[in-house]
Amino acid sequence: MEKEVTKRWPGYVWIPFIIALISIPLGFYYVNWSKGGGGAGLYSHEWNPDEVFVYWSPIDFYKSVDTVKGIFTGQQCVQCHQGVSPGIVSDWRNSRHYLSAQKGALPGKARSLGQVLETNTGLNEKNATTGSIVYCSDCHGNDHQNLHLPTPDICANCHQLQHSQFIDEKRYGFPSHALAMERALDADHFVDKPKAEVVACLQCHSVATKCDSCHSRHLFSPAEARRPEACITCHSGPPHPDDESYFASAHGQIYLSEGDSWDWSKPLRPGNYKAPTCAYCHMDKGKHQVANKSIWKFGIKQVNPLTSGNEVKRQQWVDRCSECHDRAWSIQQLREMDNERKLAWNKLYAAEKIVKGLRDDKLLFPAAGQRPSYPNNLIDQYFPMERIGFFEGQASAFYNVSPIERDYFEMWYFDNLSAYKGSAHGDVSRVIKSHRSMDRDLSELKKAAELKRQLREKEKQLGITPVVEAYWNSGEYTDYNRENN
Amino acid sequence: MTLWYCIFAFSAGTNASDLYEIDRKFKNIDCIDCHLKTNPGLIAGWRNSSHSNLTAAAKEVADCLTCHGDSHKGAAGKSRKNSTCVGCHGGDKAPVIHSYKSSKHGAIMQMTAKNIDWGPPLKQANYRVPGCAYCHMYNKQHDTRQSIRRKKKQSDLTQMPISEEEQLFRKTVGVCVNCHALRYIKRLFESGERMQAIAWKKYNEAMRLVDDAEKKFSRHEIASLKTRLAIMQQHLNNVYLGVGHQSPDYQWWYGQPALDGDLIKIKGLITDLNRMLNIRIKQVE
Repeated sequence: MEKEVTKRWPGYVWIPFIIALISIPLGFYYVNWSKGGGGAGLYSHEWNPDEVFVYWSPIDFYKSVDTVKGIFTGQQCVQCHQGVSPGIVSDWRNSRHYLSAQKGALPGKARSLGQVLETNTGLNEKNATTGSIVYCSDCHGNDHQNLHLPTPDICANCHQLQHSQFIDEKRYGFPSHALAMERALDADHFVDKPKAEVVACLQCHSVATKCDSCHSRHLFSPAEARRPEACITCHSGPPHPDDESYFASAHGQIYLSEGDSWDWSKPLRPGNYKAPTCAYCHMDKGKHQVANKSIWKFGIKQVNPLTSGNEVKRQQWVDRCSECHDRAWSIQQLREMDNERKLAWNKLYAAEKIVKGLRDDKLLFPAAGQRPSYPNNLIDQYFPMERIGFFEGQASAFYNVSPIERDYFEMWYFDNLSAYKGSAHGDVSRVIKSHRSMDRDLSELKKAAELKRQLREKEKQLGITPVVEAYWNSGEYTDYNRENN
Repeated sequence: MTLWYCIFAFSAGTNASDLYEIDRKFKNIDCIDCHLKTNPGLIAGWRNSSHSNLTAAAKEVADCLTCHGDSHKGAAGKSRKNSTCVGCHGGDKAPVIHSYKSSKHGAIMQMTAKNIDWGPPLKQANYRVPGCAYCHMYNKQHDTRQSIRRKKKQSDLTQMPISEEEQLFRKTVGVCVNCHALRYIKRLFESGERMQAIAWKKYNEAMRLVDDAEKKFSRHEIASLKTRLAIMQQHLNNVYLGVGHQSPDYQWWYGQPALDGDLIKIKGLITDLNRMLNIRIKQVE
């Protein structure tokens, strides 16, 4: 009798198994389905692309022009496009793709493109036809009605090592070049806004879908990609003033005054450059992967810089710095950055507390539920809640908010991140300036919160219930946004 | 005197390249005297341009010497450089310049500027990337209003006659097509129009609110609203510059989300005013 009981499993044990059996495939099916709509990414059923998206995410949207029929050889492409678009042909003629076949045009002792690739990548390049020109058709295809925009996969046919390093970046999570496109397409506020408005986002996030973000077409020059200007089109602006903070630093100042006379054909290795550039520090010895050393990442949430993982990264940074600087001095610099970040987060938490305090006392006006709901969020429509700070997901709604929440967003995204970049890149005056701005932001938030409390107090005394005016939920843009996202 | 010099030069069978060798310090009037005969189109173009037609904002005419210097030697090459334009157009940090510098064209230009041969004329993709003058004074067009230029007024976005729209597009295409595909230019152009129209919607929404508030509140009370609206105009201009110069940052961080913030803040200010007004009314009652 007892034996039987121990042998048999009770019936309810099977319930979770059955649920898992149904829900796991169903989950896979759902995710698969969700990516199959008119747009792209997880919310692809919610939106349709603007026409120009084809160039920023060619894998998802590009279709070849069908006005020219025929199958062409590389030489034929060049012959015709020399007249049609001379600029790209002359770029290509100056590129290694063309010069590889010209005598004496290759760097060092290399005699063929295959050899260059071999020395560059350490791989035996079977795919590269030694000594031959890389023609238009090698990357774009030769059927004019079925051309493609070269994606990283196509470049990987020859540049395997670089591509694999680039893809490897995905395992470090966000922020990342390789994950940039999905990051944009899956963002709630991207899905929620009119697509012609968020065209701007994809121009930079396309770094994941094409190599010419850094190796500008059709020269694809590594020498150009090594220079800081290759990065600044995207790494600029209020939330990531990498350009301004670098150029204002001592490193940047040396680069600005002498950089033009440096030999940029040299690889990014110790001793080759007098001052470091973006790529020198962030892409170890030219490795096409920039995420492995990042400790503070984007800077929008506080991290513990002292975890064992981060200590490993710190060692890598110190190794890099001590190629020129004293080791102890380098360690000290990084510690100072830890202190600066701690100080900044103390200020941010104080601000967050003020805004959350207003939320607790139901003083945010208009409150969630009285204004357009959080983008793309079904739960929010039934259980509206103001989201404040990183962990509640505020980053995806900096527009469907009340003014005081937006003020907090600006302090967090603009002044805080400016201070972060200043201290990371060694732009001391920016750190001081940004912290002063954060102090001012904080005191203004306090003042605004106080005003809100006084207003509500008086309204209570007089028995007034404040009315949320119609303009919070309608208006030329507000209506357009609701109807055209 | 200059006239005589020119007549002498031509009657003696001197060709243009010899003239370059006979160099001295010229005055603006000298340039005009001579070039009215040799290439009147340039002078006429310049006279039509805003460089010669003064607006209230501009203090000084940009004449021949401003851009070309006062000597013949290297006069053309010198004027083709971006540095020629930047000084008068607000310096490196002015949005009109910074939006170009933060574009891919501008970034490549900064990297290669020192090694560029400014000798060839500004056409047919003689340069790896376009500088200011390549697009705005394409192929010697000295009337900067006639070369590539995007419309700016809101009414232009919706009500421009198709023929004019077509003309504007053609001018742009004529320059860009040296390097880019026709379909690409067209799509970028149209998408840019749509983006600007959206930015205008934000501005209009705010402007209507401020107009209404103006009827209700005193000038003193709405002063901060007016200031915010003026800031909004700058952000609107940033979107325009971002689209024109293809700078993602000007389209986005200096443009669209900045306008979102302005709109929220204007709504917030009006809400506060309304609430205070209601309190005052109730107190009087």
